[in-house]
Amino acid sequence: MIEETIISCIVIYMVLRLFITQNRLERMPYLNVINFGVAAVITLKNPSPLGAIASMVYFILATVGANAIAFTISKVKEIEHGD
Amino acid sequence: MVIEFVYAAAILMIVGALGGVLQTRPIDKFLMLAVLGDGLISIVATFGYLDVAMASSFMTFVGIIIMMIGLVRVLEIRKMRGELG
Amino acid sequence: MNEIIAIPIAATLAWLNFVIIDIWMGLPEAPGVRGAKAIGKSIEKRGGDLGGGYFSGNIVCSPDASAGTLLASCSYYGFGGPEGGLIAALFVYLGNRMCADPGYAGTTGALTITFIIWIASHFGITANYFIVGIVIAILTIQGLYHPLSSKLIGKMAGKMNRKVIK
Repeated sequence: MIEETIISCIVIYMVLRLFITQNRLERMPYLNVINFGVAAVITLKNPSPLGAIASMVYFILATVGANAIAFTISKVKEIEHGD
Repeated sequence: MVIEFVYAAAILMIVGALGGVLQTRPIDKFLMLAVLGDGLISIVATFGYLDVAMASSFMTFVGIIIMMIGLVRVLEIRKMRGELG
Repeated sequence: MNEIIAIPIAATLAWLNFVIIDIWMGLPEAPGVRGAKAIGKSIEKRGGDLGGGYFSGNIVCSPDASAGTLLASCSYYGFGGPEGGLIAALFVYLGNRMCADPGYAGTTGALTITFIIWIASHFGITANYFIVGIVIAILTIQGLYHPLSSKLIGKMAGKMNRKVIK
């Protein structure tokens, strides 16, 4: 189906861009797009209520995880450069 | 031509693993570990094992949160002792 | 409906839904959590707008209208009807409580996109096109070029009277 092709292309482009960039905080929005793509694919391949619930559980937990990573990046920057 | 998501998930896992090996600082390694976890959960869900995907997503992300807390504590203690830099 | 026409229309509707509701709820004004502030300052340092940077940071770090749009579209597709949108609004509300975020941007976005999908499904644009649409919409804001998209968000925020609070 064309939806799966579009999302696969977006995910591959984002992961290659994430691998190339050096700035840590620039990688976080790319990781967020990957989370959106994976959450979309879980429902598209399993069109049932359990698929929708699995996608919701995955996305909420992935957002909290990305929040933790961004918080740690800012704390590491503060410990090493500031203070 | 249809590009199945299995290929994108395989690239996610390979890039996540290679990135985890090649990066030097722990904070960069954890970001690549999150990418690897994303790829694994997506490929498990694509093959239909939805309850396995839910359980492994719970464990992966709670694990990442706990490791982040630990990393901040380790760096603060090292700085307090003067071993940093 | 033909996919080549339906996917861009769904992407535009999803883009408008989440951008307008997020700006109206005040996302470009202040960073909600500490990670959002770091991402916003990093985008400003690379040549972008600070309000647009806080907008992107808030999207990454806590569930907002973009999360509400995605989860409501997935639920509508999975449950096969508008009750999916209400269940997604409940999940996004729980997610907001987990992030200690007092806003209601996620639930508002989920409810409005449920209404939009319900109307659009009478014209042949089913919920799976909206799922692809929101992924394309978030790619244009966060995946292409951060300074340009943050300046666009900053301009729209200025028009809707939501400036950065010092």
